[in-house]
Amino acid sequence: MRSLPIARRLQLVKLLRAHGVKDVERLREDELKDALARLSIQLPDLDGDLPFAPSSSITASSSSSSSSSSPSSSSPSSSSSLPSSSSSSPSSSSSASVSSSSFIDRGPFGTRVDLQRLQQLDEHFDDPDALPRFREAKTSLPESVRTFVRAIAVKPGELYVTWQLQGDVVSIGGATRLAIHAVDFVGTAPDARALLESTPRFVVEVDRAAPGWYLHVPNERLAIVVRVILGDGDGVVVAVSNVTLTPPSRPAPCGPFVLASIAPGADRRALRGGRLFLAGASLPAGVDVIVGGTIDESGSVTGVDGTIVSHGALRSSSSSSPSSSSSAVLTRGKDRP
Amino acid sequence: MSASLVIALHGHLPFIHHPEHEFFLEEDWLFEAVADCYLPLLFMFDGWARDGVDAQITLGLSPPLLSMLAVPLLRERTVRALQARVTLARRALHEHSADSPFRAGLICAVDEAERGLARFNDSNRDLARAFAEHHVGGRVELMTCGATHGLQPVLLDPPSIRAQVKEAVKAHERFVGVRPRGIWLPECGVHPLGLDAVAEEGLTFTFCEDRAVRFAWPPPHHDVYRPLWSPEGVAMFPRDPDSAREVWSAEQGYPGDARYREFYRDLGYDADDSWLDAVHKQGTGARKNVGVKIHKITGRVGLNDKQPYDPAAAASAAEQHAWHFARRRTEDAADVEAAIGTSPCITAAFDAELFGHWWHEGPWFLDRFLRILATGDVDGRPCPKPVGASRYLEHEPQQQVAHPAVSSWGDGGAFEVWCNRNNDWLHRRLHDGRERLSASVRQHEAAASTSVVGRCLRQATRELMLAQSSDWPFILTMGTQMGYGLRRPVVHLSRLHRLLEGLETGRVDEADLLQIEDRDGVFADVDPRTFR
Repeated sequence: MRSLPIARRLQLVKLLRAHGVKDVERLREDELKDALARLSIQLPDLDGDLPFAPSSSITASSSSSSSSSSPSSSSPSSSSSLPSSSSSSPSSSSSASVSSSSFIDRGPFGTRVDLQRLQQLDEHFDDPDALPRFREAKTSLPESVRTFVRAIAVKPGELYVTWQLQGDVVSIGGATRLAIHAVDFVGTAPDARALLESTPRFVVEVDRAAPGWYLHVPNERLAIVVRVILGDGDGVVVAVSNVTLTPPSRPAPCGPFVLASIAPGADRRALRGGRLFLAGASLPAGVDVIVGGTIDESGSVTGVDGTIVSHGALRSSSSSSPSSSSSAVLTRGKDRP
Repeated sequence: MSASLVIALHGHLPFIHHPEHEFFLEEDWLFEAVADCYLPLLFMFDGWARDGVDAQITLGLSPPLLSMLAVPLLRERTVRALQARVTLARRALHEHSADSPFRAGLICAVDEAERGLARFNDSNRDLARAFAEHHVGGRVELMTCGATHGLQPVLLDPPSIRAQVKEAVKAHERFVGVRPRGIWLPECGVHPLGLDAVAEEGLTFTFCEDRAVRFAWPPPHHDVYRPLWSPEGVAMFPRDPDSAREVWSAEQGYPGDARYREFYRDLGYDADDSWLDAVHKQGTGARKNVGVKIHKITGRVGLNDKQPYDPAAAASAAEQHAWHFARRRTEDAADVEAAIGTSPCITAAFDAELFGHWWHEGPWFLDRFLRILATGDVDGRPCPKPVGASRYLEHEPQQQVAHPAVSSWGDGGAFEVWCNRNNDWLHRRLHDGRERLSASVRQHEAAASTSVVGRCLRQATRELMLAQSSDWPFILTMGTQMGYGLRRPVVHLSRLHRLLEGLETGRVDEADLLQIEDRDGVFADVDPRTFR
């Protein structure tokens, strides 16, 4: 093996490792032939282009790893290589490592493995079995230095809130509360400023150490923004969330019946901000809007003179929803990973 | 205008590119999709071009899918996978005697594998351009999707949503050669922020779950039988639940017919060991699906009791189902037109991979169904005309205006699939990464024109966007390929922090940056300033 040219040696190492053979560079020539024969490997044209160009760095990496590198237990796919502990802790530095214990004894030739060097590879590299030039550092998700809160409407009547508190705010003692500003709306959603001007619909005390909470909110068409308040009494607002909109579970109430004719080439950029529905908004060329009375929940249109001019199409009755809840109920989220 | 039928197919896979390994199991998703779905769809369009069939469908090719189709290494590996099907199918055919009940299935498998490989090579291994030719020919309207399939109503972050749409349009133009006019919103996720971003890019239509229209405000006059204009001027085509159910339902849908080919029985597991080479065995000796399948569904029996596949019987089933579907849509169109007093537009939208990959005979069905409709009548009655979304809007520019409801095509029309106790940790991490990226972009904007700083910011942007894919939380919810679904967002976010740490400390590891770019350098000209 060692007598082969470096380019050819690298190809063989790569091929054999991909086929589950360990300690490739230590194999004697007869062992190598035996390995190739057993695996029925079709060698590529060694005079052709290499899958990667040999370079000094590759050579160095390759040689340093040759005695200890090893294939994963079944396939290079990470789907089978993550240790089970990582599923509960994706931020842990070990999350992406390939479990070594499962294949140490599996070698078809009983070759000895340098455990110490193997462990060194495992400790330093995200995927020790990767081609050397693609080896990268262990995955790690650093603890953040940012403070924020995020709100995500999960389904009708349920909200997920997650937050991160860092820096000076951590030292603020006392209670941790979430103030839920929620407004029932149709049409254009109110923005954060308008929502924050409303009285909080709910204020709930939460465990500061928890990574997030599921909140049950009324089953309405809500626009929601969440404030994180630390401390007792009035406390201090340390973070304000994005605006989130709950998905509705029933048809909307009646509203204006508006038709628009939009030519294919009409400039949509000029319609941003919902201009088709803004009374008096200037419209780009090729866009015409007609207001034709009102339309009710059944889709029936009443003309401007109060007569029903057209009945709506029938809808599936399954679209109705359970009645809304009037109180917020907390469900604890999953622990911080 | 007579009734219209808009068929929309959503083609997407997460970006999976692992040059660091000779074989990588999850890359097979692409090879299987190419062999089973995209090549058969191309054959369908080829046939329409040859026979002058006047039909059109709307096909979304997501930017990650287009990106993978353009990667030279993945093209080589696609050929390797297609060739592996040919060799295994040929070998199996050779080994089966003339009176074997499996011969018909094997002859079909050999033929499909050989034709697929030949078509792939004939198109210079560039499927995006092959589809683009049919787009220009009017047989398909290609649309884009979210850049990395980020789910807008869960991202809820204007810069991220803008980037998802903006980079998608750029990628589509780069790979397809034309600017898209429509977008398949990932997971049919509808949110005003997303529609604003769609309008900002000048896109004119999208597809949505029926709830987005049924629960719109003001209520829809024509239920789901015509699109709505969103207030931003984006046409919302709602899925017709009846059309979806007949094709998609495991209980009532066509794909469950006993005559169709069984997906879960594969020669990769059944074949004699001597028939399989290293490619068939993933380079490790482990068996896997190869894509050569010679059993039929048979019925509600165990895998071991599946009977030999008969392609002629399956083709007959596809023919019957195509006629059934055509009659049902024709009846629906007539009924709806009588109810609403105007010509309806029925939208049937599906995952592209249903056709061919999960349902082997799906492309046969689709081809026959659309050829039937293209004749203009079914059993002497006028039938809906199969048109693309833009063509429909050109003829029917007047529609009702309403705010579509926040929704998705997940369970209950909501977002629980992508935000639940199995994956909710990810959303906090994604936002943390986005905030750090934004801070870095603002801090280093002046120096971004320099090579390393600019490259670093661009790659960090790619890493964030790759982590934002809705595929990862979906996988974590479904419980399949959990390790991979967990690993990918963690790797991308880890790299993002590593790159930005290097930028902040002035110690960028250029070798590391280069290898990351080589692995996941999607969106060559990605613009970090969107995250300012």
